[in-house]
Amino acid sequence: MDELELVRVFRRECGEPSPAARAAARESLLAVIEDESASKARRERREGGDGARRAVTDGLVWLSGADRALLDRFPHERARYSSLGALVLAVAIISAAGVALLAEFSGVPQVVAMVIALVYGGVSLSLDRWLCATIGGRRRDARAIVSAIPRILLGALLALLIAEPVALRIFDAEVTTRAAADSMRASAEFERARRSDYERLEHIYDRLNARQARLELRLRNGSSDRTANRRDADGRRSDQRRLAMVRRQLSRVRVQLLRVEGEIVMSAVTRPRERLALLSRLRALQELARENTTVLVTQWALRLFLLLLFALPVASRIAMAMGKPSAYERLADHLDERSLRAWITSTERLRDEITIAHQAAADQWLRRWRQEFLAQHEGTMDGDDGMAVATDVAARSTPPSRERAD
Amino acid sequence: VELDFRFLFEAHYDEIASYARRRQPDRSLADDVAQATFLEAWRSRATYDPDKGSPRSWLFGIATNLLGRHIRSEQRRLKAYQRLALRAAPRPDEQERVHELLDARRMQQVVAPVLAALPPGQYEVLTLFAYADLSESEISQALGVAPGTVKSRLSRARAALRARLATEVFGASDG
Repeated sequence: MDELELVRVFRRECGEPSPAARAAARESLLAVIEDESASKARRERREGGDGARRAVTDGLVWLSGADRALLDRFPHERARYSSLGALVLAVAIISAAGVALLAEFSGVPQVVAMVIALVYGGVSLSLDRWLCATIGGRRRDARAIVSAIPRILLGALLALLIAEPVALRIFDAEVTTRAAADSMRASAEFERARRSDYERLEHIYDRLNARQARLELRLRNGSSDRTANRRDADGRRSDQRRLAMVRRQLSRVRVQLLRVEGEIVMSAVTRPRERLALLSRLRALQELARENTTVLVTQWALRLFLLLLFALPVASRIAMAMGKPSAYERLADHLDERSLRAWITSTERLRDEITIAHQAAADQWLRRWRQEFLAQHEGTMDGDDGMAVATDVAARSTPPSRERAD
Repeated sequence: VELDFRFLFEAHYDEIASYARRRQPDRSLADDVAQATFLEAWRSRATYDPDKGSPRSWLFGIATNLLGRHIRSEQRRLKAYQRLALRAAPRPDEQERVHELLDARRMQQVVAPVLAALPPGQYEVLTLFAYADLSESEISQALGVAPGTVKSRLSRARAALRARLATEVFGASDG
């Protein structure tokens, strides 16, 4: 019996495990496996849902102008940028809706209004995304705010424009009543004025008519009197001229009378169906705002709200950039800096290569020129003079690098 | 690598439990260790590397680590065996096997103090070799030590045992 056999024999008696312990161990292991499998299935189901959510947040991060691949290294910063993207999207949608309302308000056909709204929504989206992408990193100073000014101005302009139709919608009942009353009053005044015109024209017409009758009577009487002298003949001609003039005036007055009468009839016919004009509605709103503080405050609050809303993505990005730069921003800066440095280095290398190539070409040209010069003057100069001239010319013309090269 | 733990359990529970019982005289503790070995293996299944050894040696490595937490109690019990062997006389029902029992007691008297005196590293290698029938390479995989280290620990442990046997058993019988 060797020593190992001795060790084995020493504990042989207690070697076999009990079936109960085996069953208990098996049960506990299976319970753990089952539990983990169930939780894995739950996680997979959740991750299936997460896949769609991930796609949405990816889109939102893209809208925020952040570099998605870079941001993946800092998952805790994703929420900031996806929220910013959501803000950009929301503002674009609200802007588009506002522009659609504005276009519809100004009487543009609905399809055209939709197209204009979509285009403006796209412009707002791109502009905000661009600003969010460019502000931040190294650009967290006053220049960042300056670059955002055009966007803020555009937002302010749109806010002012959109606020009016929105206010009109809010105070629709009041504005309609007010504008209708104004319109009624104006139309009553118009009708009264027209009637007064009509009466005046009628009076003129009657007078002209009476005058015409008098002149016609006088001419008729005069034509029956055969003893009329020369003087009477002159008076008759004068009466005829007057009659013609009166008839012309009469016809003019008749036309005017008809026109005024037509206007009175038209105003009476169209008044009930008349759609309140945009200008009259706006005027009614202004008058309401002048008379009622609530309307005035609401109108300005609306303008301010829309202005803040449209400037919100850019303002948020500026606020984000003004704080301590995050890990993502620092890395983005670093990569920007590195790519800029790489570009500068490559440009400098290219410049050096070009300079060297130019110098080499100049050297070659000079060498050839010197050889030609020496060949031409070989016969006319003796060797030493020719060489002296050529060397002198070459020394004055040759770039220093050539001398170094030689 | 996807390990089928149901299969692993069926294939290796008995030998793991047997190894635990041989090492840990407290049976309930040994059974707990055997059970905990598979639970621990399940939890750390991601760390299993097939290049570093078979699942069997990996399981024995986990069991050895778990038993290592109770190594002091093992050593205390081994010393107790020695004292018991010296004091206890066979009970009446053991009278028929008295020679056999006396041999067993004697073995306890010889083996227990040597095992109790072994450094933990040598003790683990020796028990894995003797109780779990692991080869030297499997022991090296299980304990995560170099094969040369396993070999030297095993030979030192065996040499210690042999030396004791030479004086206590073989030496006595020879004399």
